[in-house]
Amino acid sequence: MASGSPSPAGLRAAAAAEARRLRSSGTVTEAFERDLDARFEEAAVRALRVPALAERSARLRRAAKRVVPDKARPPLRRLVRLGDQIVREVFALAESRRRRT
Amino acid sequence: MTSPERIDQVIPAIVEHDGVSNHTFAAQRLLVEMGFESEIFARIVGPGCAGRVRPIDELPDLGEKRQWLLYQSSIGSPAAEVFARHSGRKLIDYHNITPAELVERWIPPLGEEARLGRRQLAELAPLVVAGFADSAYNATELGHAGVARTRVVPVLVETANVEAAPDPEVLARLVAAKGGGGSDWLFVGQLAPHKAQHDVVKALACYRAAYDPAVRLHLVGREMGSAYRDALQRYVASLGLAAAVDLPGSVPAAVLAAYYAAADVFVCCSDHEGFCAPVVEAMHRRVPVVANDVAALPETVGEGGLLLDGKDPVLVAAAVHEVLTTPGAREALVEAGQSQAARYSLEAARAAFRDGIREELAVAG
Repeated sequence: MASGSPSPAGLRAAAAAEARRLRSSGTVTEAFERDLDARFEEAAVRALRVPALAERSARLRRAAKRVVPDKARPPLRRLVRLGDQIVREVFALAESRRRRT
Repeated sequence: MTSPERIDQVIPAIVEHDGVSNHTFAAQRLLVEMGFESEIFARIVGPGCAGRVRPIDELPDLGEKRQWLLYQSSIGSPAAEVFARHSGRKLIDYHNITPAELVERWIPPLGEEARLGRRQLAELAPLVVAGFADSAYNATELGHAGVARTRVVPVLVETANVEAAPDPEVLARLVAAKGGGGSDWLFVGQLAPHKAQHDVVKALACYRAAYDPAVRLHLVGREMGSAYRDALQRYVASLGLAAAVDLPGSVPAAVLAAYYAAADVFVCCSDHEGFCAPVVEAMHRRVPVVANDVAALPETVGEGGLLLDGKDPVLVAAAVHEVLTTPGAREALVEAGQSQAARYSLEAARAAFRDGIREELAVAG
């Protein structure tokens, strides 16, 4: 770096001082920073909700198959299929709501 | 032991526009130039790589005297088991494995693969004769895993990413946007939780509040799992920044060159980087770098950029402001970045790789 040019250390110190100034002057408030964090967490929770629901429904289907194996009596198998269908419908509904929002 | 006929590479997955994959192709070219037969064997072959890479179940086993293997390690994979069982003399090239806790909330299977990768690294350590690592940070991890001899061989950076001419249409669009005022921030890397693009967005929001509501941010890179991308898009929208934040996905080299050409600053807030080739690309492309002091970033950035103690969004915003407004700062960082990037030039990395292979040949006698 050429002599007389701002050094990384000098810029680092200036940036730290400027960050303190932004906070002490109220240009960036604590409430603003909290809101930034909260909004990301909210976005994360919403984005993760659908995969989590899909995983739960997959677990439910696996569990249902363990409880009522394929060789079970036809009425029970129909019941399992119905349960599976309901889970899929709920998942599809959640997915369509997610897309609308 | 005489020199082997072949030095083949084994890699869990190979895809286009990926640093480790680019490195593997470049290493293959180098091994062929050195007079070896060399092929790449992958468990997963991505689009665009077919024909250049063979499936791992076609890996021949010619014995230790005739064949060496170089394993490209960055994630857990059954490919490691194939490598472990092989009778060839073994080397490992370590690119680091993202800590599972940084990704498992978003992509649970990736968290499991990362944990598997760490376990496999410990299992492979006694089987390999030596390890290459693309940073001293990674070499230290290799040593802790139990690899006896390690050496730093920088990433063989994709030449096209530092030499391609900017796509004229994309560049014209980006330059036209500057007409409305505002600077352009850039980060290049997979849209992934450990790259923490959301923290760059936080810093951008602070910068807009403090200095310039016209600032723009370009987050270039393919997504690693839809949930994080979805969260990032929701976050950007909830902050009212949808018009200011651009998520173009994975782009060809010429388009990437246009983004570098239009960028005023490269901002990195990653929680983990084993090397971070885009930092070097930015330095090559004369874009000043602002990054946080974590993992291998202090080593890659060195004195060639502005390395911050943490990534407090207000500090990052203030740092970018200092770089863009302090007389001479931008030019000084660009100049320093050019010197630092020269350390990671393709020629320097190729020389380090060649030296590493030659040393192993000498050790093998």
